[in-house]
Amino acid sequence: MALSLFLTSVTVDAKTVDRIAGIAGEHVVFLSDVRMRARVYMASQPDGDALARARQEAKAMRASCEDLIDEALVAEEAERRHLQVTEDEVSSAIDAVARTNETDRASLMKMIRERGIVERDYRAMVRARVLDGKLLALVMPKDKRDDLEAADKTMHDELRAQVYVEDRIASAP
Amino acid sequence: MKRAFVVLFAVACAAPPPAKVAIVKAHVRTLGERRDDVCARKDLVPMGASVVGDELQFDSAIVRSVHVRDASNAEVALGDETTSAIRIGAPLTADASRETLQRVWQTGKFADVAIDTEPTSPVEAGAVSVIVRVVPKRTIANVFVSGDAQPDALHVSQGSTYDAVAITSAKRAVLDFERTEGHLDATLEVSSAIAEHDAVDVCVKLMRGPRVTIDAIKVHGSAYDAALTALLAREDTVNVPDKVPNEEMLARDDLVLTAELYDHGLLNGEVKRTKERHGASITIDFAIKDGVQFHYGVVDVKGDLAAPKGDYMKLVTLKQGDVFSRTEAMAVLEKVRAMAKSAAKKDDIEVEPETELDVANQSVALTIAIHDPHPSASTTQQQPRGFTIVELKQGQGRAAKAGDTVDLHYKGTLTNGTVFDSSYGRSPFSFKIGGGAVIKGFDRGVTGMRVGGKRRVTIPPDMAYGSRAVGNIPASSTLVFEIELLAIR
Repeated sequence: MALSLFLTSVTVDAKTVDRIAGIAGEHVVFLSDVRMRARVYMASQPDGDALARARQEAKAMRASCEDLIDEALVAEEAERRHLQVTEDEVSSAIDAVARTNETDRASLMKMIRERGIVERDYRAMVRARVLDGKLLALVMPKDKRDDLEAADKTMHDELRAQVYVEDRIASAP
Repeated sequence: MKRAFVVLFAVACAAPPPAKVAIVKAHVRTLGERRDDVCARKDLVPMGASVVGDELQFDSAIVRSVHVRDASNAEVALGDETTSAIRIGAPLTADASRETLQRVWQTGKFADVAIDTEPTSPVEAGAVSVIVRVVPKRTIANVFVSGDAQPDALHVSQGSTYDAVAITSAKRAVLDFERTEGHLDATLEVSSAIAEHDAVDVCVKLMRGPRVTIDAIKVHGSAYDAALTALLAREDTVNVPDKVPNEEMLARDDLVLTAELYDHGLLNGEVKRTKERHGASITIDFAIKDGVQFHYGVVDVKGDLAAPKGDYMKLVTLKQGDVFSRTEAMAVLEKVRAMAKSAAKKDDIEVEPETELDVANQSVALTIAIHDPHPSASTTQQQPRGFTIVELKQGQGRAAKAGDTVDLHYKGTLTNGTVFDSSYGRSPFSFKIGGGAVIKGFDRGVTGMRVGGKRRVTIPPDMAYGSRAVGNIPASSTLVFEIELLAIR
C-alpha cells in the first residue's frame, strides 16, 4: 500500500532541517529524532574508511527509524494499558547500566555528554527500553520467556500489524 | 540490527538476557579507546544544528520568510496559525521546526512534510528563508473491488482522499468485524498504484471464507463433568452448537467452571480451554483437572471488630474438616459483613476473605478480615484527598493483594463523563498488583477486589498522571474507573 511520495529538495541550496521520517499509526517519527538516535548508535561503531562509515551511518539511520517506530507503538500500547515509567525507574535503570560498566551514574552521564549525546535524549531512550520491558513482561507468553529477543520482536510485529506503519528511511532510494 | 546497536541502555530492559550485558561492557571498552574521534564527530547532528550543553541548537540563522510550497515550488495556502511556530526575524530553532512539522502534518492534508531552509534572495549572511515543503495527499481515481469487499467500510471511494493511515485502521476494523461474525479466515487486501494525474488507483479484495460455527462443547476430566456441563449450558447460551464462538463469553465460562470447582473444595483445580477446528466447525474443549479436595482448617474473624468477636463467630457456621465451598464461605462472609456494618454504623466497612492453603494437609485456613477505612483519627492513614472506592458488586473468593496478577475489564472516564479508555470489547487487561505497572490509584483500587466484583474508583491526579496530559486525558485530571475483576492468578 505504500506509495513513493518522498519529497526532494527543490533547489540545490536547500537544506532539510527536519521532516517526517516514519509513520506509526497516529504517530510520526521526525528525522531529527532519527538523526539523534543514530548518533548514539554511531558512537559505538569502529572506525573505517569513508565508504564504510557512510554504510554504517545509513544502517544506523534505518535501525534508528525502525526502533523509534517500535517505541512509538509500544508507548501507545503502554498508555492504553496504563503502564508508565517513573523518573526513579529511569534513574535506577541508568544506575544499572553504570554498574554493568563498572562506573557510577555521574561518570556514565559525563561520558554520554562527552559523546555529544543530550542527557534528555539518553533518558528518553532508557525510558523507552524500560517501558518496552514492562509491556513485554505483561504480554509475553510463559513459554516464550527463554528467548526474550524473539518475544520482543513478536510483540513489535503484533503492534505493527494493528496500524499503518511506514519507514521512509528504509524505503528511501 | 537491534542487537548490534544495544549500546548504553541494554540493561534497562525488565529482564535482559545476559548476552546484552556483555555487549554493553564490550562497547564501553571500545568507546573509551576512541573517545576523541567520537567527540569530534558532528556529521550526525541534525543539519544546521549543534549540541550546546544539554540542548540541541540550530545555527543562529535568522528567519527572513516562511513559505509553504509543494514539490513543484508552487505556494500552498495554509492558515497562519499552522506555521506560526517559526518566527520571522528570530533564529530558527529545533523546537519551532518540529512544532511546525507536527502542526502541518496534523492538518491531515499532506502525505509528506519537510522543513527546508534556503539562502535569502538577495543572499544575506546569517539569514535564511524557511520552506515548509508539502506533498498533498492524493485523490483516489478508481476503486477496483473483488471478492466480498465493501469499500464503503474502508472509506475508499472514487474522488476521495487516499489516506493510508485511515484505510489501515478501517481495514483492521473490517477484519475484526468479519471474525466476530465467524469468518475466522477472512483476509482483506488493499493495494494501491499511482494512476494518471498523480491520483491513486486502489484495489480492495476481501475473502470472507467459511462462517465457522461451534459443533460441540466438551467438558471432561473432572469427577463433576455432568454438573459442570449442565452449569455451562445454563450460564452460557451464546456459545452453543451452530453459533459463532464468542471469546468474551468463553473467558467467562472459564471463571464459571473454576468457581464451581471451588464449590467442591477443588482449590487447585484447573480449567484448560482449547479449540479444535474441523473445516467450518469448531469444537470447544474444556479439559478439567480436579486436583486435591480441600477442607476447612481454622476459620477466624479478625480486624476492626465493632462488636464482640463471639458475636461474629456465631455467624461462622463453617466447620473445620468440612469440604470447602466457595458459595458457603461467601454466604458466611455476607452475614459477617452485614453485622460489621451494622455494629460500626458505617456502610464502607470492608470485609474480605483471606485464605491460606495447606497443601500437605489439604486444608484451607479462612480468615474473614474486617477493615474500617475510616477509623478514629489516631489510626487513620494519610491518604491522598479525593481517592474513593465504591463497591458496585461484591465478588467472591479471596481478595486480590500485592503480588497477584489480575485479569480485569475497566472503563475509564473523566469527571465530566468523557470515556478516555475502555477494555470492554478487547482482551481483558492483566497486570501485577504492586508491580508499578499502572498508576498508583489503579493499583490501590484493585487491591482487595474479589473475582466477579465491580468497583468504581475515583483517583485524584496525584495518584494518576499528575500534571501531565496523557493521550486524551488532560493534565491534572481526576480519573474515574469502573473495574470488573475477572480472575486472580
